[in-house]
Amino acid sequence: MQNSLYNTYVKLLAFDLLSLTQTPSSSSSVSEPTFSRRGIPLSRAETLGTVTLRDYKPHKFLRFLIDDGTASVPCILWLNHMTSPYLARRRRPDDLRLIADSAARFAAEVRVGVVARVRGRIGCYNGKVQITVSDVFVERDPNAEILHCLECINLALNCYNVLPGLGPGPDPALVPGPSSICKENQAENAE
Amino acid sequence: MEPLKLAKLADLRHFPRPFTATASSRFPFTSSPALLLPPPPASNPHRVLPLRRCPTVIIGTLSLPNHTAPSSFPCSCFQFSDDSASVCCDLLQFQPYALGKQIRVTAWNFVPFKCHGGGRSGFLEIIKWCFLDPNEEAKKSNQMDSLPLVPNRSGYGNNSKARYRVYGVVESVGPVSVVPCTMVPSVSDLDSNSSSKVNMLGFVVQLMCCECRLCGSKELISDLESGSGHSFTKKETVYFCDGASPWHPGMTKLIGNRVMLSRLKKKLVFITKEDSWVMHMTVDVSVFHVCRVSKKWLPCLKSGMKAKGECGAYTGVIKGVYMQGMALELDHDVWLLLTDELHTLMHGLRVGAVVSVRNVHFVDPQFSWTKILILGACVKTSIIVESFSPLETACNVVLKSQSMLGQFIQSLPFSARLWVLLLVSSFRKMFTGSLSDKEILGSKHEEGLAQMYASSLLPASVFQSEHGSFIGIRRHDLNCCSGDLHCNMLTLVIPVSVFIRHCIYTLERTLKSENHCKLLPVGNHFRGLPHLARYSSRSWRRIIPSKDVGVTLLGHLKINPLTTRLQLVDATGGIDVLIPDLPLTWNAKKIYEVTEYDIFVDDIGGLGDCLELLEINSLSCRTIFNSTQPAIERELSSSIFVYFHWNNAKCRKFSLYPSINKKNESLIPDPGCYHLLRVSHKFPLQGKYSNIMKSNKSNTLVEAKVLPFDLLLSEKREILHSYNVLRGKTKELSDYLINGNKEEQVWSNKRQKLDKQSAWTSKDDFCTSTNELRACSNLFNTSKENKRNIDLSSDDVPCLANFRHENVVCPAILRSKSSTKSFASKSNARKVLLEFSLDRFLTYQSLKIGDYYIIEHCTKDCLCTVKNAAFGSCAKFCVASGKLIFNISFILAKDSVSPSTDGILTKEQIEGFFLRSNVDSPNVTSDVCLYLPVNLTSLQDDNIIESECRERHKYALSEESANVSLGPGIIAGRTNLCCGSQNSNFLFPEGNLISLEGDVVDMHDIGFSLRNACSNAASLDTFQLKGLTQNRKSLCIHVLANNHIVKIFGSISKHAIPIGFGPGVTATFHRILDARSENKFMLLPVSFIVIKSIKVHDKQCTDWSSNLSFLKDAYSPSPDSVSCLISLLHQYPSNKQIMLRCRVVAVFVLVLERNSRSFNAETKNRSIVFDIPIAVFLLDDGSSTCCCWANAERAAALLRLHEEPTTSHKLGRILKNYQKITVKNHGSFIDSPYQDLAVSVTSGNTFCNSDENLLKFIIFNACVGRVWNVVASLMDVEEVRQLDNEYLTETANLRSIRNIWANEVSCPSMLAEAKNMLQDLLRS
Repeated sequence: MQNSLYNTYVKLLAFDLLSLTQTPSSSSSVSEPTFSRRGIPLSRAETLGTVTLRDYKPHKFLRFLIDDGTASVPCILWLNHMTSPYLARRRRPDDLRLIADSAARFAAEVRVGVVARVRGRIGCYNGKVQITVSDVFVERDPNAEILHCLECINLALNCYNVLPGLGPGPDPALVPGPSSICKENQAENAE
Repeated sequence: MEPLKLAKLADLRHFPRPFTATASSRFPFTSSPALLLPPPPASNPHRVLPLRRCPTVIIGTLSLPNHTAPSSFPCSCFQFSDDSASVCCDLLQFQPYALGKQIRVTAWNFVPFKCHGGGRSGFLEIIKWCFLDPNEEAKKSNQMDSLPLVPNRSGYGNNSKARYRVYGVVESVGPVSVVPCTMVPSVSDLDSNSSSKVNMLGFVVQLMCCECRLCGSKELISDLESGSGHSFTKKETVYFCDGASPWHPGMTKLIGNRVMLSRLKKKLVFITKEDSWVMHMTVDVSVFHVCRVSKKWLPCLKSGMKAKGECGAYTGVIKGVYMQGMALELDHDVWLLLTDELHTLMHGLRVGAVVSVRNVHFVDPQFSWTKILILGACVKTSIIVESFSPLETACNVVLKSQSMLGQFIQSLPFSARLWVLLLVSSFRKMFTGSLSDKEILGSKHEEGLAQMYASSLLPASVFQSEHGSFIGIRRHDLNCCSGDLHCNMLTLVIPVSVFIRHCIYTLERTLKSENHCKLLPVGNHFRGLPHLARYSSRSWRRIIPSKDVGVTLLGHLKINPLTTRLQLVDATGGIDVLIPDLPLTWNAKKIYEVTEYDIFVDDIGGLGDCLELLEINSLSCRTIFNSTQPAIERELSSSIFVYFHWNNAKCRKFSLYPSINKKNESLIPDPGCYHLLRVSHKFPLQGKYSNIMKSNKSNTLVEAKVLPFDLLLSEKREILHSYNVLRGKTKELSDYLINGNKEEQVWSNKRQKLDKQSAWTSKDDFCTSTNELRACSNLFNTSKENKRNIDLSSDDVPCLANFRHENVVCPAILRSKSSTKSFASKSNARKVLLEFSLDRFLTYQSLKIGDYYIIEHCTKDCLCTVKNAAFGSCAKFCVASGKLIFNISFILAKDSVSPSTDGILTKEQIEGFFLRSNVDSPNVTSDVCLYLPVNLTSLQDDNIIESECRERHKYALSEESANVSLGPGIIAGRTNLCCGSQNSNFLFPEGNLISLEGDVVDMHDIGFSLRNACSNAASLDTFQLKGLTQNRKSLCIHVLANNHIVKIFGSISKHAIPIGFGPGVTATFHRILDARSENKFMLLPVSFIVIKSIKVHDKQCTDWSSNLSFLKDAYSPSPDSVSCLISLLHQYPSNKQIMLRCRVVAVFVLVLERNSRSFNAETKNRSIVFDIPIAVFLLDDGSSTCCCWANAERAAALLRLHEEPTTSHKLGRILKNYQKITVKNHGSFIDSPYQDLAVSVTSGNTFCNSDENLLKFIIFNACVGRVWNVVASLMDVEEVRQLDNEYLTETANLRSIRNIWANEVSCPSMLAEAKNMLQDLLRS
C-alpha cells in the first residue's frame, strides 16, 4: 500500500516538503537522490502558495518560489524544450511543441503575488529540495490556500502518518526506480 | 319462438335508432358478417347495433336509383321499395338479375336518418337475401343473364348503328354527372338538324378488354366465366348515358367482374377542341350480359408501393368519419380523402364498415409530425362496402357543398387537402365563441378565415383547375398519376390544448430515446449504479425548437387573470409565452401567428409523473379532428412556456371580418401635445391579479420621470412607402433638418446658431401645421414670436418623428417646459407614480424600465399641474383607459454619424445616417423614433437622453438613491434602510439600491437557511419577519455578471418572478440592495426582475459549457454522498456514493462519437454534436490514485471541454469525418499523458496529423486542470471487465487500481470545503 504514494502527487506543507529525507541513489549512474518521509518513498508533490520570487531566463527556465506560509518551496519550470538536442532526439517535434507551448503559458501565468497550485517531481538542487514543475494552475479563489493547508494536515493525519514506514530510508528492493523520464530531465538539467 | 314478422318500410322509418334484425331468432347469426366482429373495445364510443327481439323479414323490390330528373338525384344508392315506401339500400352479394325482382330480406340493418327536406328516411343494409320466387332461386348459378340497360324498354328494337360490343373486366366507374354536349350529325344523318345541344346525364365505365380473335368475333360468347385464357390489357371506355345512367351503383358493384355490353354505339367525342376520344355509348337498345357467379378479377397489385400517387386498391375498416365525410380514417392512420361526389352520393360509409376502395391514389404526405398514408380519391375511385358496420353509427347524409371552401379544398393536391381539413377542424375549435362558423368556413360567395389563412400559405402552383368528370378521367388516363405536393412547408395549426399535449409527448419521446442511446450501454451492466438521469430529482430545463414540433401557433395574446402571465390563448386553452421585446402596441383583439419559437419545459421531474396519468399519445390526425380533450390542468401547463421575439409574431389581418379588427387601437399618436416620460422603476404586483380585481384597487405602480419637455406632433403625415424610395425622401428630410433647401450648406457638429429663418420659411406648411397644435398649457403663439431668431438654446427644437409601425413621418417640435426656457439649463425632471387602472394592466406589463414614453397632454391631469414633487410627496397619476402611451426612442446625429476631422458633417453623411437609422434594426423596437437634428450636448448634460448615448454598464449599474415614497407597507422598510449606515449594529441590512444585469447560472430555494447566506443574520431575520412573508419564496440566485459570480438572495413574491426565470436567462435586477458583503445582494419587496433574453440551446444535449461548473456549490451538496480519500476507498461499501476532491493526472482511454440522435441534431448553429460514450481518467487526490470512468457531460467536464469552446467545435468538425474515435494511451501516463497515443477510427479514413495533435492537446489540457469534486460510485472487477469488453478499452493493466464511475462532476466551493474540513479536523 505504501508504494501507492510513490506515484501520487503528495500534498505537503512547505516546511514538511523541504525536510524530506534524501538518500543518494546507489543503483543509478546518475546521482539523483530519492526522497522519503517517515521511510515512505515519494517522487511527486503538489504545493500551493503565493509566488514570491521569479527568476526568468527566456527559452531556458523559470525559477520561482512558492510560499505557503510555512516555508518557501523553490520550483523550476524548464523552457528549453525546443532547443534541447537531448529532447529532440527522443520526442516528436509535435509533442515538443505542445509541451513547450504549455510551459510558456505556465511561465506567463506565474507572476509574483498570484496564488499558484504547482505539481511536479521532487528534485534537488544544491542539496536542497526543489520541485521540477510539470504544471501550474493559478487559483483565483483566496480560500484555496486555507483549503490546501487543511488538506495537507488532513492527509498527514489520515494518510501519510498512518502508513507503515520503512525505517530510516527506502528499501531499494521495494521501491521502483525513477522512471526513464526522470533520468532524461536530469540529464537535460545537467547539460 | 316468436312468429316471424313482416316489417313495413313506412314503419321502420319512424324508429329513432338504428337496429339490426334477422329472420331467425337464434343468436348469434353466424352467417351474418355483421355479427362476426368482436364487440368493440371499451375505448370505442360506439355501441353494437341492437338486435330486434322478434325475427323480422322485409319483402320488397330492389331497383336502380331513379335518375329521370337530373337535378333531383340525391344519391346513387340502390332503392328498395315495398308497397308502403321506398328507401335507399345497399346489399351484399349483389346480382344484377335481382334488379326489379321481389326479394326477401332475411338479415338486415336499418339506419334511420333525416332527409334534407326534414322528412324521415332511412338506409337499409341488406346482409342476406333471397328471391321471393323459388323459380328464380332455382336457376343455375352459371346461367348468363342478359338485361336491357334501359329497363322499361321492352324488346330489343332495331338500331343499325348500335352494333358494337365490349367484353372485358370492369376497371373503373366514374361519377354520375351532367355533361353539356353538342351533337354533331354524322354523315348519314345529314338530312336531320345540323347540331343540337343537350345535357347528358351519365357516367363513364372503363373496361379492360382482350384483343384476341375470339373476343373480337361477332358471336356472343356463350359462357363468360370460361374466359380464363384471356389477357385483359386493352382499355375500352363505355359511356352510360341517359336511360342507362341509373346503372351506376350496379356497375360499381361489378368492378372486377367480367361483363359484356352489346348493341353499343361508337362515338368520337371531342372533350376539348384539340382532344378527341373514341368511346362506346349506350343506347336504348343496349344489352348487358353478366354471369351469375363470376370470379372477381383483380389487377395484380404492384409490389413496392412508394406512395407517390400510384393508383391501387385498399380494403380496410372505417375507424372514423370526419369533416362531413370528406376524410375517413381506415384501419390505423390510413386516411381516405373523398371527392365531393363520393362523400355526398354514398350513404353507407358508416364507422365500423369494411370497405374496399378501388383506383385510389396512394400518397405519403411526409408530414413532419406524423406518419400516415393518404388514399386520395379521384374521378375514377369507387368504394364498395364489403361488410356493413355492426356498430350503432350514423349514416353520412350531406349535400354537395356549394361553399367556396369546398371548391377550394377540392382543387388542392391530396396532402394539402388533408392539411386544410385539419386546419378547418382546428380553427373551428380554436375560435368557437369568438367567431361564428360562417366567419371561419365562409359561404358561397365569401372566403372564410380558414380559406384565407390556407391560401396565404399555399403556393399558387398547387391549385389544380377543376374540371368535369369526363375531362378528369381523360386527363387521368393521359397523365397517369401526377406527383403530389410535399408538405414540408405546411406547418400544422392546432388548438393550444392539443399543442401542450404534443409538446409533452415530444419531450417524453426525446427523453426515452436519449436514455436508450446514452444510458443503455452502462445501465445494462450496472444495476447498482445510480447514474440514471431520467426524471432526476433535480429540476432541469429542456428546450424544444419549433421545427421539432412542426406546429404554428395561432391565437390571441392575453393576460391570465390567475397567474398575471401573458398567454397565447384560443378557445381550448392557453400557454404561457415569454416575449422579451413585447411592444406597447400589441393588441389583445388581434390574432397572432408564431412560426418560430422555442418551447421551454421546466421541472421535468414533475412532468414525468403526469405522463402516465394523462395517457398522452402522439399527435395524429385523429387527435386533431377529435380533440375534445380538456386542456391539461394549469399546474402542469405552467411548467411549459413558449419563448419568441416579437418580430417572429405575425399579426394576422383577416380583412374581410371587420369585427376582428374593429377595435384596432391606433398605432399612430394623434397630432397634439405629449409629455415625455422615462420609466425609472416598476413595482412588482403585490398579490394575485384576481385579488386585485376583487379589491378593485390597482397596485400596479410605475415610477417615472416627467422630462421638462413637451413633444408637439404635427398633423402633416407622410408615408414612407418602402425603403427603395426612401432614398429620395431622406434627402428631402435631411434637407429640412439641416437648413431648409440650401443644398450646399454644411452643418456643424458643434453647437452653433443656424439660420432658422430659411428653415422655417422654406417649410411654411410645417409652420402652419404646428400652429394648429393645441398645446394645453403653453401658448404656441409666444413661441411663434420667438421663432425668427431662435437658436438651439431656446425653447423649441424642430425634429422629425417616425411612426415605425405604419412607416409614417411627421414633423415635430420638442419644447422645453422649464422656467429658464433653455435646453442648456439644468432642469429637474419630476418624478411621478403612474397608477394603472385595471383595464390598463396590459400596458403596465409592456412598459420597460429605462425606456422613454410619450403620453397625451390633458389639462386636468397632474402631469401638467403638479409642480416639482419634493421628496416624499411624489404625485400619483392614474393612467385611465383612454390614455394612449407610446414608446419613443431618440436618434441623435452624434450616435450614427462620425464627424470628419473638423467636426463638420456633410450632407451625404446625414443622408446615410437616415438610411441607416430607418432600416428596421432589431435594436430599435419603439413605436416612435424621434430624430433630433442637432448634437444636443446640452440635452445630454441634462441627463435626459443619457441612456441613449452613454455606454451601458454591464455590471452594477448604480441607480440614484431612492427618494420616492412608496406604499404604506414598504415605506417603513425603506426609510430604515436608507439611514444609519454607519451603525453596524443596526437592525436592518443597509446599503445602496442598485440595478444589476447578468446571466443567471443557478437558482435555489433557501427557505429557512437564508440566515446562513446573509452576513448579518439577525437583522435579516427581523427584516424577513417585517416583510410580507405569505405567498413569498426565499431564493438564492447565482448571477454571472462581468465574469464574477454574485449571489442575490431574499424573499420575493411568487408573482414577481417573471415567467421563464431560471438558470440560462439573462436578467436585470432592479433596485436590489447592495448588502455590503462581497458579491452579495438582496432582493427587496420593491425589487423588479426583468428577463432580457434566454439561452436557447439545450444544455443537456449540446452544450456542456458555462453553467456546468456552477451547477453545484456549497449550498446544494450531493445529499447522499460522503467525502473521502482515495486511499481509504476500500473502507467504503460498494453501494455508497463517495465524493472525491481530486485532479486529473492522466487520460487512459477516450472514446468520441458523432451524435446520431435526431432530435437535437442541428440545434441552432451548434456544430458540437458529439457524445463521449466512455472516457477513463486517472485521478489523484494526494492520498493515492484511482481510475475513474465517466461519460457524456462528466467526461466533457473532466476533459475541460466546456472551458475551451473552440476546441469542442474543432472536435465536432473532426468527428464529422470519422464517426467514432478511440484514443488509448499506451505510454507512461504519469509523466507525459499525451505520449504514445494510439488513435483508431471507425470510418477507415486515415487520421491526419493535425487531428491527432488536437486530441493530444485535449488530453494534455485535461491533465493540467483544476481541482474537481467528483461524486462517484465504486465499481467492482466484473463491471470493469464488462466495460472493457464493450468498448475494447484494454485497461487490464489498471485492474490493480480502484475503479470508480463518475456520477457528477463539479467545481468545489473552496470556502465551504475548507469549513467542512476544519470542522472534521476539530472533531477528530
